[in-house]
Amino acid sequence: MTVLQLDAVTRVHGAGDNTVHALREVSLTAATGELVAVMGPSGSGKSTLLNVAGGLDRPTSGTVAVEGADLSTLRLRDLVALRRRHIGYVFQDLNLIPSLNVIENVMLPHELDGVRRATAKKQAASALAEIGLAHMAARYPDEISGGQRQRVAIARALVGERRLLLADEPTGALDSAAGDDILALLRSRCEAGATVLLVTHEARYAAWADKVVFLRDGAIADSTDLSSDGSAASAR
Amino acid sequence: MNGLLPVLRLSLRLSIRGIRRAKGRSALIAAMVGVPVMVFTAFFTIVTTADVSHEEGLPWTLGSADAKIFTRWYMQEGAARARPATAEELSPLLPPGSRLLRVDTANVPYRTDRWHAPIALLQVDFKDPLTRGMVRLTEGRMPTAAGEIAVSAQVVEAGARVGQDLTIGDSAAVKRVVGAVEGPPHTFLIAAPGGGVDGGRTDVSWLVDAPRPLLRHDLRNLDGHGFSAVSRAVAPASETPASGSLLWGSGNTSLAEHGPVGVLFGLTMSLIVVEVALLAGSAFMVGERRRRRELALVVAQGGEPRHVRTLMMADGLLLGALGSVLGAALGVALVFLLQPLIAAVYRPLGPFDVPWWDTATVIGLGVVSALLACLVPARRAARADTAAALAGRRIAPRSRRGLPVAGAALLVAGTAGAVAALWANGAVFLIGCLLVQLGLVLLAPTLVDLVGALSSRAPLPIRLAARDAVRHRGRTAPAVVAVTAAVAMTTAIGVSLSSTQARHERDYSPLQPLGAVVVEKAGHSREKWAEVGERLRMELRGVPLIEQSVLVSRAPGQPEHGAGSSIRIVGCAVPCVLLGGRLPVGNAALLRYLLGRNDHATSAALDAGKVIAFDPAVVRDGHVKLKRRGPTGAVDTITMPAVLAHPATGTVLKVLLPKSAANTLGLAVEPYAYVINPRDHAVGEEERQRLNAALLQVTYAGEVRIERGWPHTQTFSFALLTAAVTAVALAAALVAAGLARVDARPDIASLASVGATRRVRRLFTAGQAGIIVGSGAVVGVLLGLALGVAAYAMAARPPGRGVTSFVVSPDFGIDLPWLLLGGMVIVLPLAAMGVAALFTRAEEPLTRRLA
Repeated sequence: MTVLQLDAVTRVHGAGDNTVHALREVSLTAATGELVAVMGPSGSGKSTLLNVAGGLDRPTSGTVAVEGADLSTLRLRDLVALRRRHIGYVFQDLNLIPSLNVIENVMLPHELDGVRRATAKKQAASALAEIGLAHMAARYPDEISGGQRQRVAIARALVGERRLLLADEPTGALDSAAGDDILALLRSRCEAGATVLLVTHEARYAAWADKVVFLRDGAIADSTDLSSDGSAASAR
Repeated sequence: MNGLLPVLRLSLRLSIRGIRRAKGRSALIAAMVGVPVMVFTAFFTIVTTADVSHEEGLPWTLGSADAKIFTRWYMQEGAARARPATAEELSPLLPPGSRLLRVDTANVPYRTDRWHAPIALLQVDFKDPLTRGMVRLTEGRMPTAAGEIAVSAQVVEAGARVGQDLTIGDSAAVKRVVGAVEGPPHTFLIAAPGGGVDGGRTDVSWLVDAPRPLLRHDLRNLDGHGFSAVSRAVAPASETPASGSLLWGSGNTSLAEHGPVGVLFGLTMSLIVVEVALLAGSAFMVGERRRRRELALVVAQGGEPRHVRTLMMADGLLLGALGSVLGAALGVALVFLLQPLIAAVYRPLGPFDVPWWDTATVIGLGVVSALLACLVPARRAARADTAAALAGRRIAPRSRRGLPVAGAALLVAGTAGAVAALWANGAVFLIGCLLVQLGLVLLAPTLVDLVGALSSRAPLPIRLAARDAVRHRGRTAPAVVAVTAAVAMTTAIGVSLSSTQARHERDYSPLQPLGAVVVEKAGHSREKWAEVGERLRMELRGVPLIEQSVLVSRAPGQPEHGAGSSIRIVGCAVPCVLLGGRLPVGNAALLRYLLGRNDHATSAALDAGKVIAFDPAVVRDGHVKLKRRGPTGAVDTITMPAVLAHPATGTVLKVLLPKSAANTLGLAVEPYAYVINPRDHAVGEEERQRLNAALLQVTYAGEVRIERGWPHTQTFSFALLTAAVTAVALAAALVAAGLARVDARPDIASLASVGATRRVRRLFTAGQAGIIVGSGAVVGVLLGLALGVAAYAMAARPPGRGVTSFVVSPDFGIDLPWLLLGGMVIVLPLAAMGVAALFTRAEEPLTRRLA
């Protein structure tokens, strides 16, 4: 089942002489259980792609659909609700709110959604248990390691019914061992049914992906399907 | 409303932890809200505590009696007379079986190590159970014999001791202090019946023990027979403000009705709310800037703009509540602890009383101010570009250019309103000032642009600071407005005070030559007055003491309070200055004192029984005409020979009468004052204090005064105001500079990377503060000048005089306080720059790219 679908997405910043094409006619799909890696040099449009995919930014043209819902047709409130219930973000660093402890950080999307505290806590505890950090629930972000912080961010991104995880350089601030752990975790979440769109500039992490997309100057320069069934990549 | 509670809970949790994490910033905002709340709460608590309500005062007045009937004083033929109240007269007016207990009250001075002003002396039989509750014995026993006395705590504080003697009354009776008591908040003494002192006025009142409560119709009946009474069963017709609420009040008073003080109070209060909203608003903006990524993360996790707004507003709610509650508690606690000091400085206090409604209102206002303050930062945060914040990209500030046309229109309308208040009242002035403030808020961004444009030739750090201020108008403008409003208010008050002062100085006509020493007789008895003269002569050792006398309205030997004659000088233009409204009488020494030189011819004329006139208008053909209205109302004119003299002392007295004139007019001569001619002996402040202390050994009312011209009295309160403005300006500068530093970290890093020294970086921050305070001060001074002139014209205009004729008349002189204005425009910005530079961390900032 297709979880994320980008169709001829273009994002233009500025106007006239200052026009910058961050994305040009990008089309991409990600299905349930798939890990799609987006690679490319600095300024190639990787982060913009992620922002557009999650509805944090709107495309100038083209469509973005998450779990069948066309983001461009949604009202702001519904778009935000979609993000709360179906999409999780993980950034390079500073993912967690320092004033909230680990479990409260994981509870955040549910609390914003008005879910009862007890229910939110139960689901957050279960998400933490899945990544092996249940014992860290009461700690604050600055009391745990960088790798643990990223794991907590991943738990938050996939808490409850959330199935689409958008990760922007999640290993960028980690050493290689911790980075490998994070990739292993992301892979295992995909095996459990999640869909991950991973932006990275490290080629070795591409090996964990089912599909690798190369961006250059905002356009897809190449696309490789590494999945075991070898089905063709949908890219242009 | 779906899910509002969890979000609110989350917001409060985040806010509480955020407050704990940024303790300094939180304390600053809480203090901005809390300090004004503290001041207002303390003010209301003092006023409420000082006012003794009917219920609070009842036991002191009535003891355990049902009612108290008072002697009623009234005016008859210009003299105060008492309606004598005797038990025989009262009994038929009271329910049968009523019992009466007599209470005599006199006012007597008393002496410890010195004389003290008169206080109440209560003579009543305290063994009678009706007096139970009037006072509480704290030491010793109640007086039972004529030579015994009990004293209140205040008298003990003044030095009286149980077991020792105390001298009381003009007759200096000696009484043994046998007890100390606590009671109403006025200094008082208690004696047994017959234990009073001779002389002075005694009021008789009666405590009533009735078989039934005395109701309103009983009081009316007593009133009809010429007696006033207080009954336990009848509440007074009008309540004192203390038992109600000062803020909520009785609903029929408005600020404008309290005159200039009310206007000033209203202006200060509105200014404080505006300042809190502006300054705390800037501080909240710092918080918004610091929390930008955190808020973006919330949005990334599905937070809606309203969630972000709630998160930001929670800060305002918590810090506002924290600051307000702490401020109110501190205000109440301060008044509670400082009661003795307040009673000494302000006035005697009643039982400690907290005005709960007013306090709650002030706390509510504090919270509302804080919420208003974070409204704009909350809106900004909700609209922020999430993607840019998450990527750590610098977000271009929304360069609102303000609403210059609307701002200018409001400014003009407000100033016009303030000027129009001359023809209307204080409320219009207040509205005008508020419009001006609002206009300033809208105009400020344009002003900031102007400053930016002017800085193109300034040195690099200042130029950078100016450009940065322009780029971030949103944060610069509120700080500029805060400074402008504070400076404008000080300037307005300064101009108004200084002009009033100058006018008083111009108009002041000293009754005595400058430098003269004066001790006025006031209420002294003839014997006491002689004693005062004796003491002064002893202290001054050989310096001539001149006695100034006046003609009084009664004939020699007549009782003091009888109907008298009044005398008027024909041709004497108003104000016809005399001594205490009476004609001065004196000898050659007094004439020399008034003239400031020896003038043998004039002196001989005075000796020969001629009137000495100092005003040519009162002399016609070598004579002065006096019009006398006798006790019966008959008017006759007396003509006396006179000579004109030209005093060198600038005395404003119109005439000096020879002693023989008293016989001619058939009136008695009374001493008015002792004076020392400055040509005989100049007295300095030290000697004045020595003389004062010596006189307090003899009398309580013999104050030694030196004629120094118009007294400058408002310096202290004005200095306090200036200090407050300086604090506001510095706070504005620091908050704005702090905000600028957060914004400018990448710029400072770039500066450091191209080799800028610490000095340049410090100058950059100092420049930010200088631009804010400097531009705010210049505009504030200009605005304050206009408002100050209007305020002065409003306060100084004599009643019944047309505005236009007053403003164009020579009486309307504006005096500019140059020192203050210079200080505001030059010293204040420099001080702000210095403070900002001092508080700047000049270490090299490290910036990093987040994504």
